[in-house]
Amino acid sequence: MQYTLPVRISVLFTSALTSASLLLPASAFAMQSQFFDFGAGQINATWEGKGPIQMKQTPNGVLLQTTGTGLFLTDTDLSVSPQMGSVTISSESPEGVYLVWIYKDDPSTFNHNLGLRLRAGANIATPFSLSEVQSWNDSSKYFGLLLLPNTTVLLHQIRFDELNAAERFLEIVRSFWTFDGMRTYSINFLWGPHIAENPVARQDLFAYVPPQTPSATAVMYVFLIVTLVLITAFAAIQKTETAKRRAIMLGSFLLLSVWILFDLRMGSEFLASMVYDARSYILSSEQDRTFRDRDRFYDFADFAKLYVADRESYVFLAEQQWPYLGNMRYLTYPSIPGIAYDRDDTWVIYHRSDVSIDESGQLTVDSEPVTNPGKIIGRFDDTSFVFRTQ
Amino acid sequence: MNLLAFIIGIAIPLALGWMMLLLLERKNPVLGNIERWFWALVLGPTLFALLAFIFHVLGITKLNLFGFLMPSIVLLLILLAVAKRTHAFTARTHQPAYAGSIPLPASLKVGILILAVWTGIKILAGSIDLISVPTYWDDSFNNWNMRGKMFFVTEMLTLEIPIGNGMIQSSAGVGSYPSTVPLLKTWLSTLRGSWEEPLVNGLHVIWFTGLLGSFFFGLRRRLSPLLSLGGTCLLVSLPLLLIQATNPYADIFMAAHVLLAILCLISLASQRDPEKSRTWTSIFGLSLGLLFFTKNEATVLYAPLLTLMLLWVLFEKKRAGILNVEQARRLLGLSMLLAMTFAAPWLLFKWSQGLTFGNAKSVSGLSIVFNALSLQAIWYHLTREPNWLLLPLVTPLAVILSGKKAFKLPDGILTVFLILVISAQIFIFTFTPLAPEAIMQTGLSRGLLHVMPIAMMLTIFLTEQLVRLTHSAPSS
Repeated sequence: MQYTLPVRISVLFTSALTSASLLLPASAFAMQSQFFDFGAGQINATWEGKGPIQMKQTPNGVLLQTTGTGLFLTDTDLSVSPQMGSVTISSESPEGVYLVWIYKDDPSTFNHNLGLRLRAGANIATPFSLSEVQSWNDSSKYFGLLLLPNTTVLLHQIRFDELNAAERFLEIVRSFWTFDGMRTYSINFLWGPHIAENPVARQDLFAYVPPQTPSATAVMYVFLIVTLVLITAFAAIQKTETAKRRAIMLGSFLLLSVWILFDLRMGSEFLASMVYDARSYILSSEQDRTFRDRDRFYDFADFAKLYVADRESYVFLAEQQWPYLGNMRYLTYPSIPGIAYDRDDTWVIYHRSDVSIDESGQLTVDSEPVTNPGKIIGRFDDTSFVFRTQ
Repeated sequence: MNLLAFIIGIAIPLALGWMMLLLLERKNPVLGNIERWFWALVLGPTLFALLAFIFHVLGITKLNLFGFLMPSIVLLLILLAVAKRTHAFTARTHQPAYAGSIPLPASLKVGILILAVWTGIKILAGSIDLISVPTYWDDSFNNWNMRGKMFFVTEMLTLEIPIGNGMIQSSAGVGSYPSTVPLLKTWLSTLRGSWEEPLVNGLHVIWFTGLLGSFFFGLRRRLSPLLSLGGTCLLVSLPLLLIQATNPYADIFMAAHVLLAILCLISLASQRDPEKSRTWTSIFGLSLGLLFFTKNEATVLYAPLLTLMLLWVLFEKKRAGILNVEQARRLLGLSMLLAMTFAAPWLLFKWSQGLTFGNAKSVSGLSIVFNALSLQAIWYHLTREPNWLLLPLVTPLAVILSGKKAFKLPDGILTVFLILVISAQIFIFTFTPLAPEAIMQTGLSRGLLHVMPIAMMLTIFLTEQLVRLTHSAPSS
């Protein structure tokens, strides 16, 4: 008798799922993709260039070259409702191109676009997500690429993917449990869980500030408020003490459950950051360890400290002023870092590939001498060292 | 060596705080034995730093081993002698009327225990990280740790940090911050003989422990041990609170002091015995006075509001016939006298040095300018980010459902204080040039952090009452 209720519930649940599945379109059960290939003999749409762009067919794809801003477009309608896609190209240098689309029914022919950073190399697929792009919809459109002036790329393929319902749901669950790291803003605020419905958006979940995807916290707030209003309304209609009592108990249980879910999510993110620190810094050897976004700065500061301990002040050049200058002041105090080019004889250089020594022994910044002749008295790595004038 | 310095370095301030509390309680103790240790963990180090500060600015001592030890040891010996003479040590055995255990469903008991283990893991991991990694955050290396190291090297309370030909971001105003946190770091390093990051950063665990212990015993006056444990776990579950607590920032330190002052007031409001009321008022005076020496927000925001809350409690007690006018006046006078005794040195020093009365930025010169972006940022902070989990929804909900009860003493202290503080903060961040502190979510989150333990305690009390009422209500 004890097992009757669970069995009934499971039967009901299975039946409900089966019934619901019959109502879903067939596309809900399979990921669909549409490919636009550009290899010789593989082109399956009509493409045209607009503006100062040259197009040349090669065995592996179309070579696109621009002298000004050029468009490479097709009017072929998409047969899928994509959430993501990719552009595959070969390029000798990193290029910034845009996925561009123009709605056919838009009299202003406005160019909507999505920026893509293409890496250099052969056959590099650059994924993009469309789920969170508000200007993208299923209306009939011209689409293609926008290339900036003086761009040369060999285009192999443009691909669009429509995920099925199960895949999207799985991505939503995975994105909820995708963690942000310990970042410079984490002491003041935390993005918390965000919802992405495709793998590309999930991988870039915390790459943007603020994140482009919807906040799961906000979604949960809406869910809670709607549910609590319904519970309250139900109790108000019943007008009994028992109904009121049940409403309070149910409401409290609901809130506590969601609280614990979020505690697990945020607590896990916190622990993941601690584990990351342990692996990358605390338990790593001094030669290999790095710390969050500061790389090997703290070991460098320890190294440099020895050379400036007998100086009141020294020149310090880092890849960027914040946070390194203030941090260096704290670490080397009472020796104070600054920019007294003509007064201090000791120069501490951290991660500056533009700083080197010329033939006359002078320190140069962007090939311009900035010191009297001297020598490197301690080298930490290729771009970090301590220099002292003679 | 770090551990030894840490143990000795904490033991002396702890003993000082404990003795001070014991003397204030004397024949009418109000704190439990273990509870008193947690309170001493919060108040003792601040008192210790204040003594070193007073002797130093009077030109009697330097910020060296003698300068730190002498004032505290002398005061400790005096307190010991007075305590012995007044038989204050009998207060040690006092057991307050904590709430008893209540029967709970086995599933809830197991749930709370699992939650406690989970919470313990988070605290342990955060504490290990705190003492094992370099100083990473801006306010740590540009203010708290920087000033501590500067005091340690110079053995002086230097107000201005060298800014290296003006290239390091401006430190203007940082000198106006009370120097408790840096001074305690200086003290630990002085004891150790060198500036050690694990040692000076480990100090922040002490304030977190003090906060959690005080919070737990604050709940214990109304809830069973297991529910109090569960409530404390819920406090630790606030993600931003946990991050702040396990990093070398000063806002958990501030939050712990604000919590103690509020706990005094809600206990005072529940107290019918005039002698015990006197004890709570005295401890409130001590907490309020030391609050001035924590962060600048204490002077411009929390101390005036806490004094207002004290007046409300005394007025209500007089109206209820628990106190007569003379008794109420005497209690007010006692608390203000104590508060001013501890606050005066820092306030006089600030005034004499022309230091600002704001959080690094002077409040006196602030103009009124509306900034809509601040409101958007505050809304975003509260509804899009789980910084405080569901507290921004649950606390207002608990207050609304509790109705007038939420505004009656003693819980009314928590409700009204919370509303006033948050309203003041929203006003400051929306109508003054401090708006970037909200838009960048810097000052805003820290300001909210100061009152989050109070918001959590209020929510727990109100929710417990609601659930208890529904259980005791007759079914229809």
